[in-house]
Amino acid sequence: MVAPDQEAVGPLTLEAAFRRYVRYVAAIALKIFGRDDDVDDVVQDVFLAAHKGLSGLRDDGAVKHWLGTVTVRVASRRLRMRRLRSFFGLEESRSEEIAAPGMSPEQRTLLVTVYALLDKLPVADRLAWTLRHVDGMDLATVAQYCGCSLATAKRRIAAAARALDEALADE
Amino acid sequence: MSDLGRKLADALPDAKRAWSDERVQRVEGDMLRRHTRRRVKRAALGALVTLVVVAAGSMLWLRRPQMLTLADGSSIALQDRKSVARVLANTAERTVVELVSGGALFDVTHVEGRLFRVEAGRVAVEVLGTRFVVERGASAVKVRVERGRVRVLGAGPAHILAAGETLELPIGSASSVPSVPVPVDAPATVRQPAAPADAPTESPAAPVPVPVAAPLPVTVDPLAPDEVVAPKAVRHTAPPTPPTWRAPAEQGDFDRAYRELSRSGAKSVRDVPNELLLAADVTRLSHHPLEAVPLLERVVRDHPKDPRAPLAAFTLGRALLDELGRPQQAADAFARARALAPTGPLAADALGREVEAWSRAGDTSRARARAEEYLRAYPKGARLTSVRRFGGLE
Repeated sequence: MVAPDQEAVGPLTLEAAFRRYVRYVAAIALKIFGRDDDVDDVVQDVFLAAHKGLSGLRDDGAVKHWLGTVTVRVASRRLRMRRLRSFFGLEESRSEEIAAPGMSPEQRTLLVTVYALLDKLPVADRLAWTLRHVDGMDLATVAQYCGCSLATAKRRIAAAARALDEALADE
Repeated sequence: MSDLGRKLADALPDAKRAWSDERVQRVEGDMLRRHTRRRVKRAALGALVTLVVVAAGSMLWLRRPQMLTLADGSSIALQDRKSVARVLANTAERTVVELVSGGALFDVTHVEGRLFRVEAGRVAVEVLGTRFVVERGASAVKVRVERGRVRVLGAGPAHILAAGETLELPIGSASSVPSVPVPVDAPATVRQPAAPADAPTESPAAPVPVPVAAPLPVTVDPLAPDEVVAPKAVRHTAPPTPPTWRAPAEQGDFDRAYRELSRSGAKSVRDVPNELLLAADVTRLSHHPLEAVPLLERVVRDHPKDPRAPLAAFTLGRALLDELGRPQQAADAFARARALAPTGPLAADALGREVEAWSRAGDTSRARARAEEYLRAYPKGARLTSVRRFGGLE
């Protein structure tokens, strides 16, 4: 029996890859950004950027790793651009838009508060922390997706955790 | 995963539920259009060369059996060595291919606003791009359209199916038994006959013949050029329980939720904050912001002590300012949001946006006063730049 990660997927077209893995990519993007209305654009960017690299991949695990890496790269670019635009007053804070129908007010408040704090962290630290503590990835996968060493990933996660603890203690 | 991380993960929408088949299809369509536009741009020079070659009369670049893929991903597969085709035009608006002799299979990529036309003598076939699946079971044939429109011929009148619609016809029945439209899921097996030698075909296939055990064959045609019938909904023989607006709203399908909400009417929204907010989300996120206003006002007016009231007031302010162009009412709404929860997580943003709203309303003195208040209360606030700009404190 073939393990899920080693399941052979065959050569993937852009459409086939999208249909098979869109929810996987969307789940990561949602946890990084904390809002669903960013996810559609991010998902498109990821698959358009990643599809050329898919043709040589043959197992499910390898495809997910590739897509995960590209997702983090795309997210990093968007977050940095957003920060730059915000610096020049071209982008308004949208923390209040973090919401979803059916979410309890306590959950909305938590998301608004924490993602507003995450917006202030260095992008690299934010990404590492989110992948580790919100998405639940293991450290090795976090390091791979973030394109850094294991030690660097640990350092970034710890820095983000300290900053969040301090900020939340003040609230 | 830390405790905080776990709480965040629990609070966020579930991606699998949020990504319905309809959403997957819609976003996939948007992505493919972007992909096509990029490829068209990159291949623009190639297309120009093709046109130059055609214009120079050296014309017939497709003589041997081969597959040609155009810049937009459409493909032309000649049937045999005697088949000849040439591209007469290939622009953003139209692609015209002349089938000089023989036959070819055309797989047409949908490009928004682009007509794909195949000419063979006095016969012309025009398509916008279609993709559909035909499945034959023991007693029924199921047709599912993934893209474009098709005409399905069986017992009774012809059915026009649009993307996302499915029709099931029993092979041996004297009357059709249409099923409800179902979302597109993983494609099943598609059978496409080879193009006939002496007639052009249009992609993705000529009618799929079903071996007839009963006297009622089912055929599927991509829509013929002169058939401009608007796609009609598939009829229900046994109407299912109509979904309420709540279920699609909770799945993030706001367009469908709005249709259901419109059908059900205002009485279907109970006077509880959660439901009023959900209905407001449905109207706003389906691009009907004006209808969100009374719903949000009800939360603020009738449930001021509810913890969701500040959020409702803030959302009302945003709708009034950003979508409806009513800055003075928006300023009042933002002020209300702040009053309902002066130390809540939205207080800073509410004050920041109130500054902007007064500025846009032309009340510069109020804008300045609120801006000064913001700078005192939130010296490191996220909206410092815009507050200074709108408050005239630059």
